[in-house]
This record gives sequence, structure tokens and C-alpha cells, in this order.
Amino acid sequence: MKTLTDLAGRTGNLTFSWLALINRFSRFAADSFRHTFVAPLLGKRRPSAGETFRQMVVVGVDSSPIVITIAMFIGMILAMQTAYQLKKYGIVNLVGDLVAVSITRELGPLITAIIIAGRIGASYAAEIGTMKVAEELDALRSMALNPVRYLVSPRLLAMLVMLPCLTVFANLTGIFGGFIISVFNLGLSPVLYYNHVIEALVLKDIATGLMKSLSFAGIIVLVGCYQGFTVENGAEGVGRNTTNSVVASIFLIILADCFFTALFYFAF
Amino acid sequence: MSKAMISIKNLTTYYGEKRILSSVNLEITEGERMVILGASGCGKTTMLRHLMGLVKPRDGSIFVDGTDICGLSEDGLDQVRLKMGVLFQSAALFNSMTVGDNVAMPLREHTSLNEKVIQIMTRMKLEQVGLAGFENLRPGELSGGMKKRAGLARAMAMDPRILLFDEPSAGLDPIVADGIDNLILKISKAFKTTMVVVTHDLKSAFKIADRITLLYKGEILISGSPEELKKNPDARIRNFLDGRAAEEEIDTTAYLERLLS
Repeated sequence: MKTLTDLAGRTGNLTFSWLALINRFSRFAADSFRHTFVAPLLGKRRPSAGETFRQMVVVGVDSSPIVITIAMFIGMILAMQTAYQLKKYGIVNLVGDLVAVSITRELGPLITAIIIAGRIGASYAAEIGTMKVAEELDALRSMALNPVRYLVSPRLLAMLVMLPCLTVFANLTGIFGGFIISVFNLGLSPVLYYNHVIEALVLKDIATGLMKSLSFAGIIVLVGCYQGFTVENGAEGVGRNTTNSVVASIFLIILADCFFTALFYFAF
Repeated sequence: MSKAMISIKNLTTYYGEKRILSSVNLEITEGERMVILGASGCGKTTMLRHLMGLVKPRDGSIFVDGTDICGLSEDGLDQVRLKMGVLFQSAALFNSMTVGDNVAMPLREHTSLNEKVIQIMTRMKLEQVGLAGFENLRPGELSGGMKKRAGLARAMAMDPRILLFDEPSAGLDPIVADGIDNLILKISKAFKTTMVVVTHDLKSAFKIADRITLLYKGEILISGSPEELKKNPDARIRNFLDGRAAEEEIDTTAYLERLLS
């Protein structure tokens, strides 16, 4: 009997703590959007342009080498794996179609988001968490500067612009990776590959991919910053929340990906 | 001169179920240097956080320059916070910026002065705290005492009417700490700023204070001039001033209950 009530109690507690977490996170997200998009329209202070630009450099320019490199390898891998199967039916010339569509619709946005969640989302959690430990967040508030407007808004704006840009790069280099395998290994002519890619792609493939990447951008920034703001217990807390930010971002990215893919597949 | 700059009425706060401050009443007049003295965990830092409006009290009100800050929205609080400068215990300088940018930051964010003027004002503030020529260093390259000085320069950037200090001598050796105390006195004389200093350091408390408020377990034991404090016969006050730990009364029933629970 005791174990049974224990179980019920524990399930209840767990449910409540998850609900509380969702509640706090949604309020944080609403607050971030209000400070970034609504407050400037109402004539209140807008996020600093200089800081936004600096964050865009960190997110976009500094991350592009790694994103480009990984996307190219993904394109090559995809070409080899599809060729392996297409060979059985003698339609290796369709490699370009498959690579282009899967990269733009799915892998380009997803791989980019996962790289950036690890590279940038984690650094947001660590940076803001360290600031909290060092009383810097209190210092901001005591100087009449809102930490959400000062820290989250520039990062949110930067990410919303730069993640789709990086995704475009990833799409291009991913398709180029497929090109390398097709031309040098499968013996397809460059023109044939190019024509197949152009024929297979429709605007919707690229647009849905970019729409996904916008939602991923929001997830990465909000989760990373939220984990930073909720750091407790000093340095140990910073480490734990940094890890949490990567795990939670990737989980939510995959969840959002599944949702949007289903939406585009069934509804449009 | 006798106008109350800060007045705290019936301030009561809890941390979870634990009461931190119970019905604290305190008036701090304009231009006064008020030291809030107490052992660790007596609620003095909590009180300072209330003065900045960083936390909302369970009960009571705090008037800063005539405005009750407890009922204010975050925007309203920001208006009041512009009248205050705060030196945090760890100085809380922004590690990603140079010392100069730290001091210039409030000016850049809250005023529309041009960059040239801001540069000059920044140098003036650093000059006042004895850190001239350090504006291009990073906070990580400064010693503990210099960090506090830089933190003070930033707190003074907007020429606040109130300066709050959280343990200004914590983590410093006695000589450097004495230098900070001298600096606090110098600034008080020069600008007639109202100052609230939270500390557990007796030597610096008696050196700085116009009035001392002694907090003990969330209650004010006494609030008066340093002389009044020295003369007071109350055992708890004497214990604190002589640096003796209070004898803990042992409640045998409670002790047994704790062991058996």
C-alpha cells in the first residue's frame, strides 16, 4: 500500500514540477518576444543595434566554416548511401534529386541547428550563467537595465537572421558534397547532376526548410538563455545548465522538426 | 538636511518558510552614511536587495526619495534605480568589457551624450577612485581592491544621490580595505551622497558611519551613533562588538525531537 501511495505521490510531484517548468519557460519566452518585438513598437527602448550586430558575427560569420564543412560531408555521405541503393535499380542518375530534396527539406536545417545548439546555445547558457554567479545580472538590474532586453533580445534577433542564412549555406554545400561523389565516383556528368538538382527542387522544399530553421533559432536562443538565467549553486550549476541547454535544445528541435514536417506533409 | 531619503516601514521578508527580516523600521536621512552591521546570515544583504527593488517583500514598504518602491512595476523601479549606485560584494564588473566600458556603460545606455563627453566623464570617475589610466584593462587583470574601486566608479557614473555598498571590505586585506573606507569618506564629503553600507567589519563600520544599525536575526537591535553603540550595555550588542559568538541556549526537547524525527 505504502509503495502505491509513494508512486502516486512521486508521479504527482513530477507532473507538477514539469508543469511549473513549462509555465516558467513560456513566461520567459513571452517576455523575450515582448522586449524584442513589441516594446520597440510601443516606443520603448529597442535592443542595441551594435550588440545585435556583434552577436550576428559570432553566430553567423564565426560558425560558417564548421557548418559548411559538416554540411559538405553530409552531402557526400548522402550521395554514397543513396547510390548504394539506387544502383540496384540502375537509376544512379537520380542521386542529385534525392540529395537536393533531402538536404533542403530536412538535413540542411536540422544539422545546422544542431551544430549551432552545441556551439552557440551552450555558450549562451554558460555566459549568462557565469554572469548570474558573479552578480552581474543583479548589477544590470540595479543600473536600470533589463537583463532580458539587454542580453536576450540581441541574441534572439541575431539568431533569427543568421540561422536561416547558415542553412542556405549548408544547403548549397550539402548539394555540392553530393556533386563531388556523383562526378568523381559515380561517373555522372556535372551537367546531368546540376540539371537533376534544379529539376527536382521546388520553391516549397527550400521555403519549408527555412521556416523550420526560424523555429529552431527561437528554440536555441530561448533554451540557452533560460538555462543561463536559472543557474544556481555557482560553478557546478553553470556546468549542469550548460549541458541541459544542449540536451533540451536538441530535443525541442527534433520535436519541432517532427511537428513541422507533419504539418507540411499532411496540410500543404 | 534632515529629509528622509530612504525610509523602511515594517519590512518583513521570508526565504521559503524561513523569516529573514521581521518588521524592520529604519529611516536614513539625506547625506547620511548609514552602516548596517550584522553577522553573516542576519539579513543585511537581503535588506540591501530590497532597497534596489531586486526582490519584493512579503509585507511592509520602502520609500526611496518619497516613492514607495514595493508597489512599483519594473519600469517604475528603473526610474528609482537611476537615482542609486550599487557597489556589489564581488564588484560585479562585466568581464566581457574593459574597465572604461564598464564605467561608461550606464552613460551610454541612459544618456544621449556624445562619445567624446562620455570618455571624459569616464576618466573623471576613474580619477576620483584613484584608477586613472586603467580604462583599457579587463576586470580580470585587476586586483581585488582595484575591482572594488572600478565598481565604485561605475556606481557613481550617473551621479546618483544614493550609494549602496555590499560588504565593501570583504575579501580585501586590512590596508586595502582601509583605502576603500577612506575613499567612501572622501566621496561622501565631496558629493554629500546618501550612503548605505552593509558590512560585518567592525573597524570599517566605526570609521565610516554617521549612524550604525545593528541587525540580529532579522531584527534591529539598535540604531544610533557609534558612541551610543559603544555605551550600550545590552549583552547581545556587547557580544557582537567584542567579537564573541553568542552562547547558544540549548533547548533539550527540541534537540531530542530533531534526533528522533
